[in-house]
Amino acid sequence: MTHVYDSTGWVRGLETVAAWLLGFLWVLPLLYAFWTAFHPAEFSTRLALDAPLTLENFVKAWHAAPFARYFINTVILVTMVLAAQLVLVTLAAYAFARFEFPGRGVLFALVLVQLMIMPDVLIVENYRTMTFLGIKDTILAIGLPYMASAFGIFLLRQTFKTIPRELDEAARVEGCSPLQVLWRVYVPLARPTYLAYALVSVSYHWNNFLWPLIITNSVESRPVTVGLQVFASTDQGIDWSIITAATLLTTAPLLVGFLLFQRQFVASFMRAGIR
Amino acid sequence: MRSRPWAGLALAAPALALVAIFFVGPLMMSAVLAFRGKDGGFTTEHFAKAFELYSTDLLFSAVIVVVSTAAIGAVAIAIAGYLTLGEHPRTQAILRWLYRWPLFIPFIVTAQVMRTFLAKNGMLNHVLIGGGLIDPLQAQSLLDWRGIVIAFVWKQAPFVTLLLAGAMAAIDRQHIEAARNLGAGRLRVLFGIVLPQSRRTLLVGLVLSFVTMLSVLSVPMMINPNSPTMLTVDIAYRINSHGDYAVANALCLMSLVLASFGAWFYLREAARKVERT
Repeated sequence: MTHVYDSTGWVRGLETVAAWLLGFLWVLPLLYAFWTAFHPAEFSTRLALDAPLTLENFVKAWHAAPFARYFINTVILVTMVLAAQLVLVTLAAYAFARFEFPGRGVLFALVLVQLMIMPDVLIVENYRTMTFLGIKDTILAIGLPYMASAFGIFLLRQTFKTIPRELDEAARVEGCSPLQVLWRVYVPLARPTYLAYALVSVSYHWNNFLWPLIITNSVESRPVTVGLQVFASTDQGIDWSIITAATLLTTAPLLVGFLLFQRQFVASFMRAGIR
Repeated sequence: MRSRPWAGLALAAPALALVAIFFVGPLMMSAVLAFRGKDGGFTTEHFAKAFELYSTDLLFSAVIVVVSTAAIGAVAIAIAGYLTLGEHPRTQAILRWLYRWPLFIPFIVTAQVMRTFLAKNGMLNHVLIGGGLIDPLQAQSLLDWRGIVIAFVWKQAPFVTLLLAGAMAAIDRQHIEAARNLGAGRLRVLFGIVLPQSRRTLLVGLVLSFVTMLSVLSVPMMINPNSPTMLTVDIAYRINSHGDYAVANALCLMSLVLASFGAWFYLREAARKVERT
């Protein structure tokens, strides 16, 4: 399309160069991580086009920590948390969006206050609670404080409130119970929100570090992010190649997932109105 | 609105029970213990100790997060603005594809990558030396406050950009076309038309980033663990090395007050949006 206001050639060229530069700069740390991980250590800070490719760094990283176990723990963690969140958040959001009950305003305000506070600032007391419950150093202990997600309740409540009441009432006239209305009307119409929320939840809990670091101390329960901490200590020496290989190992599932689902993720994110 | 008191309460009860056990209770206990002395009486000694030992870190945390939030805003405006108003479709498509990558990179991985990238013998200095931009003797490590800010901006800017670009894309193109047909330059269109209409989304994205960054441990711990550092490192240190839960609680509450400034703003904006709908 030609506009009367089109920029002059050099301005447009400059903008294009700046945009390319910005994009390149943004992806440079990741490119560097890939370069270092797939090349011998002597090429970790030297770009040479004839540098040989190797997978040895990944093998060394894999053997430096029980990554297989850490991955299993992480998958169990994110699956368990997401499943519990979807059930609890859906029921609570439905109640706050469509039911009137005593203390509704106060209780919803309480949920909103939780939104202000990252659970990490309550680690001391939650640590005591887990000790009291006798589940310290378990995967359940990592996930339990996050299962009633304030963000999820808030997000879904907003989505549910935008669904026309006529659909709700039509379903009730057909004889649906409140739970059937939820399952047949609200849940299907909120699918983009669920997808966006699920991706945010999985990403967050895959990334979580502080709470798992404090509540776990054994290989059987530690997630992959805590396992990666092994490479942060000086005991391992500073071998960037192995560190970056371990780093890529940790994040590979998320990157592959993002590559496969980025179109759906971005679309859902936009339509869900996380703002 | 259905008027079935017990049905609504029963639906919300499981989530509310968890909120009570893992949020309300701990929050109240955290506040109580932060003010309780060894003899069980009221005291402010834990806060005094926290201030004495970590007041610099409190200030450091606030400055780091504010600077990072401002930088994230600038980067997000630049990228989202170009994606909305740029005139080179292929460059827009490539930038759109590239900027999103850090979205799914965990903070701990971001910290690891930046630790290797920004070190004195890291890739950044090698590129700068190789490009003749600096002498080898001028190479310096960026693993200090600058490293933390760079890591935060790199990780969080795509999140804010994604929200902002969505809001900008939703603006009626006729407004933009009309302004440009009247001779307004793209910068003027960006700051005079597009940004004011997507301002709320930008601010909410920045607030969410602000609160998130305050609670991140891995980035300051790996990039700049020595004093001054961020409060999260101090909290982990008080618990892991000293078993000092009282001072850790005091630090948690101080962190909470900082986060509350941002969160209050988010809730206010969100409430307005609900009211409008």
